[in-house]
Amino acid sequence: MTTTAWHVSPELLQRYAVGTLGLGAQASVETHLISCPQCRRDANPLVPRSEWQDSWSRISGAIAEPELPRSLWALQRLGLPDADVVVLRASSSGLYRPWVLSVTAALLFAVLGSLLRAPEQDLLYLLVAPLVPMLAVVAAYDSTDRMRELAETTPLSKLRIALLRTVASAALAVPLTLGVGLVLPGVADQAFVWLLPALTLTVLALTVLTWWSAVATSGAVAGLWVAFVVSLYAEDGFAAVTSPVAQTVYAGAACALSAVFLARILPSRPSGGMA
Amino acid sequence: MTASIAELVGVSKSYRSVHALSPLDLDLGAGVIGLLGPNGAGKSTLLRLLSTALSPSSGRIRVAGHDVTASAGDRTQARRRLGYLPQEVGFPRGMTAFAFLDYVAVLKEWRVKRARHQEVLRVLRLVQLEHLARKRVAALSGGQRRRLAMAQAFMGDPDLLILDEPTTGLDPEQRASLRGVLTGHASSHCVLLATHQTEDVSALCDRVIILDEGQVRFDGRVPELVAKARGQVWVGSAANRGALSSWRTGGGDVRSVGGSPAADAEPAEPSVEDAYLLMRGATRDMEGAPS
Repeated sequence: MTTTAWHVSPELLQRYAVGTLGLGAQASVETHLISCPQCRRDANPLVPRSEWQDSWSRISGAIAEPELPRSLWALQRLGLPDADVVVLRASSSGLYRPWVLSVTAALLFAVLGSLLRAPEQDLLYLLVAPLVPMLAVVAAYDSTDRMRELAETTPLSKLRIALLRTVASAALAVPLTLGVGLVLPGVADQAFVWLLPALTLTVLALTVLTWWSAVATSGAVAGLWVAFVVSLYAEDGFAAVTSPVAQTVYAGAACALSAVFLARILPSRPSGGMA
Repeated sequence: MTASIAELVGVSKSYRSVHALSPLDLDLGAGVIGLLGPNGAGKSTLLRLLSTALSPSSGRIRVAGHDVTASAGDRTQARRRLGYLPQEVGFPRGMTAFAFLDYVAVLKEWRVKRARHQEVLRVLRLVQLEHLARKRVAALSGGQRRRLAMAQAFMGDPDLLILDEPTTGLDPEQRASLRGVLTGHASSHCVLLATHQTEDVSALCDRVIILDEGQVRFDGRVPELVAKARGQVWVGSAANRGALSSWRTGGGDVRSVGGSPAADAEPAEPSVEDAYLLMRGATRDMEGAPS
């Protein structure tokens, strides 16, 4: 650091401080300030304390704030509010796990499906497809599960958090699973029948999450579904999954479970809850 | 008596057939209030009820003028005015100290990024962890994690600060620093802390509540509690006969709480711990007495 014989005049410093200097003069004063401690001292009281404290807070905050994962950076660019980005960042490190799970499941589908014959492709698809969105949604809760007690006592709407995580997790899981179904020749004609069971399982998992941990919930719901589908396969009764009546039952079950879920997270009394 | 910040009227809590808390009335104003009691006395249940994490089996709870038992709206209003440190805080995986507090700030409805970050930095400074903002929580020591968990409770300058065992895992220097922060906050707010550390109660608290088996055994000022033990604490060459508790001090004398003093014993100035031990002893005697 060097000192110079020339110093910025008080009038010039004042105009610099209030921002009325031209760009050229501003750059010159700035360059001089960097190398002249005396002028920096003179300039210091000209800037209101609150203003530089505010600037310093912004700088400290920007330095301390962790870099966003690519997935969230993209969502932020698409207009997702900053507070929602923070909620998703806490969800398994910015949805990294739910999305990786979705992509892995889709790839496994494609590979296994290509190795199987048509009826087995059907079984595999009906077995796993409805579980993918459910597992992706539950994975988004896994990270914050452990601060459940603390989150329960905060005012932010738990419904908002649940919807945010569910939509963000399912946004990749559903199209990918659907895409694989459309590509597999033995499944293409029934590529959409898993959507309502998937909705039912996801709402069931969200409801169970208000009591149980993410790991226990995913295990229980997946086990239930696998047992159900395998029992149907043994009786050669896929109609119980694919028929219009069955689809109506799934839709009804999803509605009923949604009511239970809402009653759990918007209760008249506090109990359980999810972060 | 200071203005009421939180109030419990006829509040009780049962878990199926287990009565965790018998009906109690409490009025909590500004200052530091210590909650003492053995494990299972109902301290954490009381704190969880006040924090709105639990609902009472009966009675009404008001926090900052809002009846948390009345409606979801009132409960949300109350949640905006309280800070809560549970006994154990789990941290989300892979998060830095700053990201954790940023997330809690969003849960506490700090939606404007700049204001939120300023608040996060303020509470980090408060617990002297500002320099560790970018460090992953998993890499922090136990004491640092406890201070980080405490920082989130201070967010938003809450009217009611509820702390469950706040000094667990802190070294003496950190505890002294925390005491300064807590007394500063308590000048205009209510700080309710559950602890097993009787020295924290002596050093910090304006008022002490002793809970045992879900019932309030004592509620008053610290000197009033200590006065109850006056004349029942002795120092001599041997333990008192029938002493509730006795131990050899660093100076070689034996300090006895309760019992009949030995011939050479001299009365000693009691502490909060002595008074607490005597109160526990009296409770046990009452339980053991034939009805």
